[in-house]
Amino acid sequence: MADVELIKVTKRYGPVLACSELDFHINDGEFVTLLGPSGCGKTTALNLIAGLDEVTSGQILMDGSVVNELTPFERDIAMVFQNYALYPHMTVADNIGFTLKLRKRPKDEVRRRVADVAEMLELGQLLNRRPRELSGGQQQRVALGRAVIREPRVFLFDEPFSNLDAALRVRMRLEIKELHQQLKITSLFVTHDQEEALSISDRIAIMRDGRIEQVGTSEEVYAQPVSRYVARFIGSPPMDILKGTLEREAGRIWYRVGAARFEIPESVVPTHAGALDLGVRPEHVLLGAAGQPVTATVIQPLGPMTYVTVGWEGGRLTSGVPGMSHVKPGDAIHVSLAPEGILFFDRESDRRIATTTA
Amino acid sequence: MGLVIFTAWTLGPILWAVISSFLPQTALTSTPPDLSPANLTLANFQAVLAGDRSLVKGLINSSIIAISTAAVALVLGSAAAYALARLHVPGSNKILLMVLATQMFPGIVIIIPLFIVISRMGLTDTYIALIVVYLSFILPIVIWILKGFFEAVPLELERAAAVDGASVLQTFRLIVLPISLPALFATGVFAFIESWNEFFFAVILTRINVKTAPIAIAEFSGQYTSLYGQMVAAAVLASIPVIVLAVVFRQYILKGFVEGAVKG
Repeated sequence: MADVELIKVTKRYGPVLACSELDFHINDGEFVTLLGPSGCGKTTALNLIAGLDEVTSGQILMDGSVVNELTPFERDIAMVFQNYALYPHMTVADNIGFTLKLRKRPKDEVRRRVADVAEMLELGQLLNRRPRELSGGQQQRVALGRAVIREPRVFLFDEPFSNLDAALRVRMRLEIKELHQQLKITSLFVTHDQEEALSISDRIAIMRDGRIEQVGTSEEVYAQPVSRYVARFIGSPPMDILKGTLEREAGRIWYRVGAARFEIPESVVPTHAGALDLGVRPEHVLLGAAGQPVTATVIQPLGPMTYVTVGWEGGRLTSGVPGMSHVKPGDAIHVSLAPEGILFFDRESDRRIATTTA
Repeated sequence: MGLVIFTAWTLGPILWAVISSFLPQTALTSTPPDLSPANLTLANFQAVLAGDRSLVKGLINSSIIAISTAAVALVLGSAAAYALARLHVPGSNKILLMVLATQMFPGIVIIIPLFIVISRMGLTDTYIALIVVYLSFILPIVIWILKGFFEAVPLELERAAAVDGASVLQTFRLIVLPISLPALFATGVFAFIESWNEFFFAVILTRINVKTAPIAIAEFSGQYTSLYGQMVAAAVLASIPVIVLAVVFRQYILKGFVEGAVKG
């Protein structure tokens, strides 16, 4: 077990800047996720921490000592790869035990530890199979087993679930979380799936163009995104961003978008000069008798939640209503915005402008 | 239809060789050739296998040379190919081009200097001379073929091995080579067949001791008479190892060349 620290870690491939001055700290036993779209540098960052790639500048520390020059093995990390990377010519048992064999551990010790890991991951019946004879989920568990048997200082996961179907992905999420709670090994997980990140992480680092945009708990990055980019990336359906203007009239404040305007309490209005975009998540768009008259356009019932999209001349919003909704496309309804859910972003810089409630 | 013509075009001479190997010289030289089944005989085969046994010796020599060439080509070629495919070898592109450039000289251009060098070294008519010469043109092709295969091995496998604590050499030996066995078989068969069939260098660089099978076959054609029946019988015998190898490793060769073509 170890804590991991990145200090101004930068990686260039020729003219391409893959990672730019990454600074962050993973506490001992913590589960941190690097989240971002493909090409944002998150896998590069993982490879740098693993020691599979060399940093261009900056330092990587484990337990306070610099590991830049160490091999993956010397760093004592274990890694689960996106395509599992199981050795196709070896049985499940040999795949899991390969690392112990390389370390010349006695045969019975290898057999015993492989059996233990196989039992934990429910692979006991499959030890003599080859990887190609396994299902995707089983292959994934063998890959996990190969990492777990090491009892490493740090676990690294490179989009391990992206080749699994949706149902299996949700189950593996649970298994990884259980595994982490059981072993408490410092873990860094890379994914482009925001829901996956929210569901399994102690903290999330959101990356954008090789930089870290925000680090925080699931609650923090969801409720207090630092930028429009984070706000749009986290949450599904994504946060609506309205491009309108603030108006003052008879002591009340309104945000006007096209033909509609929404009342904004004084307390959430930032004292900011530039043009402001307004962001609001579906659960903070309230349908009811009061507020701005609009027309329902699209209804998406999902079971626990129904998403009702409403439109007016010059804009639209999506509202999340618990349970089923009786609203039908074409219905005339009213919407208002819950004050606690209103976020403002500087239109130029993309940054969120803090308000008194945030 | 095109396939039928092509097949007939390719197989016709082989079929003719096989038929004539079972016919006596008189039946072959009469016009038109007398193909009546009554003439079929094993005499040609008996003659080439008995006699001064030059063919048998040729087959043994060819086996020694072809197996050695294939083995050395695989050992050296796989190591070189892996280094060029995966390790950061400075100037690896130039090395690859130079390796390929050696293929551009026709044998006839280098045979005279080569002969002089080899005879000055006192190596004419030795196994080592032929093996080294064959390696010089087979090894580059082996390196290129194997490089294609090694590049097709998923990089993650090697990274996984590195994480598991394997050195570069262990990764190569325990992961890359076992996965590439079909490719190694196919390439080995290729190297074997290339040197088994080689005639030009063999005829110049051998005298008596290490005459290979193709030379022994050619010698059935003398100054005054050509023993066609025995010649084709010898050729048929010499083809058997190649055909056996091709059949046994057919799927390997096909799989191998297709994979190499896609990735290499």
